[in-house]
Amino acid sequence: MKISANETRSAFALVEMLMGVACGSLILAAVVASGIALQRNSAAVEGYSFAEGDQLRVSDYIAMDSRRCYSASVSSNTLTFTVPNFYDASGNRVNPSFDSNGAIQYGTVSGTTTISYSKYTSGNFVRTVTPAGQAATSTIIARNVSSFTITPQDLKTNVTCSITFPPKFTDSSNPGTAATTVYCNVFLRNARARQ
Amino acid sequence: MTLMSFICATSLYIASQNTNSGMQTDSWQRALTGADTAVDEAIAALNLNNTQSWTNWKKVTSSELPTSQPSGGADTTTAPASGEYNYLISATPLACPILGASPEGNTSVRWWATVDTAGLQATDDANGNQWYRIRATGVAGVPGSPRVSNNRLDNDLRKLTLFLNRQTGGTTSSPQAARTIEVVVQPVATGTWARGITTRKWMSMAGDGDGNSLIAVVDSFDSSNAAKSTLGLYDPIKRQRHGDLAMVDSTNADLKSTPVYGNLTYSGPPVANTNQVKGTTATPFNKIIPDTADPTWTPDSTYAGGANAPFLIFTSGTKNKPARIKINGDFTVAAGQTVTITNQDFSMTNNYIEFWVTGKFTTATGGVIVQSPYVHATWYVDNDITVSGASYLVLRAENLSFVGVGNNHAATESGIPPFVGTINAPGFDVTISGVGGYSGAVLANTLTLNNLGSIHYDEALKGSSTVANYAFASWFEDNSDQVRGITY
Repeated sequence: MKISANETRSAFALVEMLMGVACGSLILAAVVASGIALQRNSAAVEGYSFAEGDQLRVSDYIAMDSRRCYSASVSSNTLTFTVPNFYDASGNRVNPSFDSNGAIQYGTVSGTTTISYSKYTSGNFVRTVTPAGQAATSTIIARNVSSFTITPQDLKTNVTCSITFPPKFTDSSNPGTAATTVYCNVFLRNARARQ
Repeated sequence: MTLMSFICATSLYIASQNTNSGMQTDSWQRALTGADTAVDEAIAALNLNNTQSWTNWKKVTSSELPTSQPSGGADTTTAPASGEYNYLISATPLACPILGASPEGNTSVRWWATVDTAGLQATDDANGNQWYRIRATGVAGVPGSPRVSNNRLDNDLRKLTLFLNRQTGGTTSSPQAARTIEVVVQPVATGTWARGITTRKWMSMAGDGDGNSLIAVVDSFDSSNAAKSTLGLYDPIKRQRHGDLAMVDSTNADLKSTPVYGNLTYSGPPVANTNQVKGTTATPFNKIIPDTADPTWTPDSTYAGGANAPFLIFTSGTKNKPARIKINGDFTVAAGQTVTITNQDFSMTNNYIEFWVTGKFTTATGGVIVQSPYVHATWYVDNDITVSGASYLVLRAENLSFVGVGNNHAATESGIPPFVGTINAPGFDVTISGVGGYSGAVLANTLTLNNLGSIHYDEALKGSSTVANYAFASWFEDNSDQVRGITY
């Protein structure tokens, strides 16, 4: 068997191959970098969105209860509102009536419902509702809260408090990302709460 | 490429969810502005309470309020009575002004309000006026896909109507955020003596907030009702709970935890230490307190004032022709003097006398004015008033009226026996410090209660009155989800 000396074989030259590998590496690097950037961007957007959602939710909860409360108090950094017994034990709305002193009351159940806000050491921010004569129910309304501060002297007309959230998305190359502090300042709409 | 596509799709999905969540939050917050607007519309209708103010309102005969947007009923021009409710629905929201535009986010807020008596009886009001309940709902559309927020905690708060209407239990094809406010409004009566104490500026009471062991009290009685008084006098055992207070400008007001058996209504900054107000605290108090003025009549007799009373006895006239006496200068009942005002007949309603003192009115310690129980006396005083329960003996508040004319004067009541009468002095700074208390009513610029300076409002004085405005007595946002059994 004779091997033809004229048989030609095609291949990249070394330089071509090196160029190809280099280009391929660049493209792959770009793809990987883009993918990582997209993922980071996605995580950052999600972190921002969740953080904003937490902040709005917490301030909306506190604002709602501030507006409808009959009194507000602070003890051990727990903000407590008393609100009227607007619902009976079955959860139905009740009509307003005059109590024996001529004050407006809801329902015939003595006492009032309390709603308190506090931050647990776990970082959970918890809203606890205790209807008159019923067991308390606690609900986590935000997670990963680093601090909760109330300004008690403002309870005469407004409830002023601040809640600080650590950043949900952090960048190892820029670890100094600042925490976000939300300030909530709500007018007490019930005149009996203002004194 | 597959990996990249997957990453891109995930990013877009997350961004879409976040946008959705943000717009839902925005809609929820806008719904409250709609509900507030509805409350304002209802308050405006009640305050004016005329044909114009109730234009576009409908009246429905039903003791139950609707759980969804009301319908039916007939046009009305009056406030609802018991067993009825009025309602108003907002006009159609304006369309986006840019033709063909498709703006992001919610583009409209609508609302409705109902007004009813809520079973509250006018007879429970000190002046027989009706209180009302306003229930208002604001609704904002939720743009975008009807999907729940990517954060479950949001759903617990905002309770959006995406497919299930959380108020009616039915289904819906237009996702929306709805918020409902329930307000109870208190009528502010106009009558001069519609309440126990009315001031243009602050009140300061003794209470025990300043460490004073003697505690004043504000309450009421009815000298015309034996069940609410004893021999026409205040009796703490028969205490009533209509000792209402009102302030036009509450700046620097401090009740110092004084027990108040009645309502407090005010405009201005919060009143300090109102924790012992037993009744309702409401705002605003928009009543205009008119100035007092000197009489325009021609006196039957004129005397010169001085350090002693210019007369020692005087007889009243009739209701149609009261005796009218003018004292130029100060009127002083000196120590040891007794001035007697007698009746011309024995009718309880036909003995009237009026005095006009252009200077100060003073009863010195040991000086006494004895007034017949048949006589109704009115003193117009152009300068300071100093009087005490020991120096001016009257049994019924309706029988003695002091009208303080002018501004920047003082009126002081003191003494051990109770003082009975009224002081209408909107330009005077009034101080009540009599241990025996004060039975009647006071209208002043400022009011100070010292020691046991209690005030017992005599409900027999109130007379008829209309409503100046409605004040917010209670405000509550109903964020419940009746369908799911969620309340607070």
